[in-house]
Amino acid sequence: MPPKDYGNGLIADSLPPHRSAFPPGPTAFPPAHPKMACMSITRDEVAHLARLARIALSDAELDHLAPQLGQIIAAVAQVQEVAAEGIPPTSHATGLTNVYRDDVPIPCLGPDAALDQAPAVEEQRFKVPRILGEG
Amino acid sequence: MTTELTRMTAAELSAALASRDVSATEVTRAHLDRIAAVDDRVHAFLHVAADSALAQAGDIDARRQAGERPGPLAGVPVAVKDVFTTVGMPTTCGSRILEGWHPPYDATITRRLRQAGAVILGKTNMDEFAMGSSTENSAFGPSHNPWDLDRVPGGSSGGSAAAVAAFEAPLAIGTDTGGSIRQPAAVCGIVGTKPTYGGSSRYGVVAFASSLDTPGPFGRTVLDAALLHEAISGHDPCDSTSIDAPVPPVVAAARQADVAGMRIGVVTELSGEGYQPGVLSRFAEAVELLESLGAKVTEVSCPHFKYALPAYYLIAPSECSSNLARFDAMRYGLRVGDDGTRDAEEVMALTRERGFGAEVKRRIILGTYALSSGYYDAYYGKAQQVRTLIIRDFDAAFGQVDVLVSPTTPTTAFPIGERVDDPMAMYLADLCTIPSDLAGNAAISVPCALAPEDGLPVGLHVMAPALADDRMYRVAAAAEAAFTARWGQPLIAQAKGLGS
Repeated sequence: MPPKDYGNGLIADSLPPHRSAFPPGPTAFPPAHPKMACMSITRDEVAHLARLARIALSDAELDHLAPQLGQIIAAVAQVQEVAAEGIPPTSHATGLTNVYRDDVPIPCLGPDAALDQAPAVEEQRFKVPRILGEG
Repeated sequence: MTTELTRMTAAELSAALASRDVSATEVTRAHLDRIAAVDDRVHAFLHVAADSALAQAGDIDARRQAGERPGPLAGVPVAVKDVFTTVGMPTTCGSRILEGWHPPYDATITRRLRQAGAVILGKTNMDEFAMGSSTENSAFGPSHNPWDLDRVPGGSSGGSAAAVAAFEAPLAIGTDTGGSIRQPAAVCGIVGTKPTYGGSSRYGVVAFASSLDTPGPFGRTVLDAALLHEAISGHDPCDSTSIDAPVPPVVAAARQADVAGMRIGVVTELSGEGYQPGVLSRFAEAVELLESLGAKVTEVSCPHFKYALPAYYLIAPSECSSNLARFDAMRYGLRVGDDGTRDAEEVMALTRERGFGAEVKRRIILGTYALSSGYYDAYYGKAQQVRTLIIRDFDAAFGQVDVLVSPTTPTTAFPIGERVDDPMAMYLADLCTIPSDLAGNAAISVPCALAPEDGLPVGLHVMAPALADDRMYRVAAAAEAAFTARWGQPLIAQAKGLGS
């Protein structure tokens, strides 16, 4: 299956495929010995995820976060114990779908109010850093 | 007189204001004075809106003088969690990335509070973007528990809970995504409600996990919480997940305060290892009390509740990783590193690095992981199936009983600093509250005693089916009345963290 490109530079399939055997280690929540929980995510993977999430983590933060995320992932993986064959997923609890309102124009923010809190403004528009790779 | 006014409940203030025994201006001044006197120690507020509060109070007084009879909350002060947008006041969500941001519109709940004449005292402290159980994740420093200033007030709506427990406000608004109203209410010895999901509008609530976020009330009594619950609830066309149904009669239920003949189920799975002994013993006494009041108590098993916490820590971070993508440094909020040499993506990454705290980063990265292709089915997909199983557990349980009960939290308030760098331990604070969030049901926490080992408040947690919020108010009010009769005073009168 080719990687899915969402058109925003994020390649969804750029992580390694799901490993079939979940890493050994405590699965109780919390793990019986949290400090001994096996790493289920590498430092490089965390660095990659941070890039995808547009967070410029420092090396020190990566050192700190990677083992913590490893513990958390080992614990939340407990959901995989549940035999869920044929169980439909729930994305939200109300069951509401396709909620529309009448197509009636209502007042909206004017340009001054919309731009009032912008970090930078030019000619009644949001001024942003360059988005293309030129010079 | 000033002290007396801050000790009064919202219901008492409402009656005194309606009969014009006191003015809204006097009531507001008394609470602003209290804030000035104690908030340097409690740090419940990120922003105190003294001028606009007094202006609002003056307006209510003028209306009453002109013969108008505004609603029951007119002139009653309220504190609002800093996650609700408010015109004329900053909204930071406890985050550097929104420091100094002044939203251009009011949240629906802000608007409804203003329309009801409730006087908005200011914005309360919270864990950054509502992620946490202690307010220690606030970029602006933690709030302190009025029972013991060295302990957390819970979170994420810890500032709101602390403000009410410290008599800085009779009422406050919070949001509950995994327990963020009920857990701080329990550890601060007050009442807090998570209404049915969709029963209170999310419009203008800065989103954390949209399928879970539920605004709700805090008060020092069950009736006060019900009065605020009713004032903020009801269908909102601006929120597509808002339920178009009548608001459950929670005020009438709080006044009814009667459990005779009600079937109450004790959840087997929300007990045992990991729970503080004093929490369990006080909870057991509360159950005995309800039985003595005529309730039929049985034990009910909800076998999938043990998977609620892991499922929550996949679903909530997944939704947050998507929701918080909006903080991109382009249209509002912080922008870091825009020196003409960096492109937009670099500026985004530097801004998000500087603007977000550790817990928010942890959850965004966890959510990004759980939603990644190749991991999606194993994590997010599985968690969504667990969510279905938890809803089925609730459905089966509510086929046998009218409400379910448990302790609100496994432990009483923990010391500031104890869990701040141990996310797993912090997450356990929401063990009992998460199932109701995943199912979209209603639940309330009401004070049920002090734990014998540390003298800190324990909460009784009452869970009701969606749109049956009134049932839990009946139970909570009955327990409150019986406990208060036993103690001779409300539990909160024993809070001594700020002196007498």
